[in-house]
Amino acid sequence: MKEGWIRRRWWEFRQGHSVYLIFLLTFMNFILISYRLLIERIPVFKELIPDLWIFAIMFIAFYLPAAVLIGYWHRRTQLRVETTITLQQNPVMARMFRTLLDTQTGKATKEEIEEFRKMLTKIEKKTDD
Amino acid sequence: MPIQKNFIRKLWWDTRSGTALYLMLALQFLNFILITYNYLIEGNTIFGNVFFNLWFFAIIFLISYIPVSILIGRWHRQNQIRVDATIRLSQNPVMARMFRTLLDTQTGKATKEEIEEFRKMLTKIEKKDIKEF
Repeated sequence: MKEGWIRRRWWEFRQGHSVYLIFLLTFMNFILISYRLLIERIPVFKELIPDLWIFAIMFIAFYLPAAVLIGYWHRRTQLRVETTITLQQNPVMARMFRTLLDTQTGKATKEEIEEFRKMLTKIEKKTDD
Repeated sequence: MPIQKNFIRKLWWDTRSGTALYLMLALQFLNFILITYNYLIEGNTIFGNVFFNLWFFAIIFLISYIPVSILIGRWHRQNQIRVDATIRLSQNPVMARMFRTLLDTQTGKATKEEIEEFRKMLTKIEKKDIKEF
C-alpha cells in the first residue's frame, strides 16, 4: 500500500461530499425544515402545498434552473474577476513570473536566479508522488 | 520559542481549514441525521419501521455514505477536474497575460515598453509578499 493511499481516499471522500452529495443533504435539510416549521404551521401555505413531496418537487423544479442560470452568469462574468483578484494577491506566483522574465531579458543576477531555484526546489520536495 | 512570521494569520488559515475540511463534515452529518430522523422518519409508518431508532439510522447512513462519497470523488478526480481546471484557466486573463508576455519576450515580439509595464505589474504584486521564502 502506498504511503498516501489513505490521504488520497480522504481527498476523494471530501470531493464526493463537498462537490456532489452535500447538495442532497442541504436540499433535504432545507425542504424538511421549511415544510415542517413554516409551511405546515401556516394554514394558507398548507392549503397551497398540502404534502411534503409536492413541496420537494416544486422546490427542486425551481431551484435547478435558477442555479444553472446563476452559475452560467458566474462563469461568463464573475469568475474572471475572482481569478484576477486571486492572482493579484499571489506574490509568490508574481515572483516566479518576474524572475523568469528577468532571466529572459538578462536583468536577473546569478544570485537571484540561484535563490529562485532554491525556493522552487524547496517547494518541489513536497511532492506526494 | 520564537513566534513564526504571520503567526495570527496562519492560525486563522488553519482554523478555517480545520473547520471547512474536517469539522464541518461532523456538523453537516449531525444536522442531516437529526433533521431527517425527526422530521421525516420518526412517525412515518414506512421509514419508521425500517429505521427503528436514531442510532440505527445514523450508522446505516454513515456506512453507506462514506464509500459512495469516495467513489464519486474518484470519478470527479478522473473526469471532472479537467473541466473545472479548463473553465478556471479560460477565465483567468491575468495568468494568460503573464504567459503571453513571457512568450512574446522569448520570441522577440514584446516591445520594451510592454516588458517594462509587465514587470511593473509583477513587482507591484510582489510587494505584497509575506516573506515566507
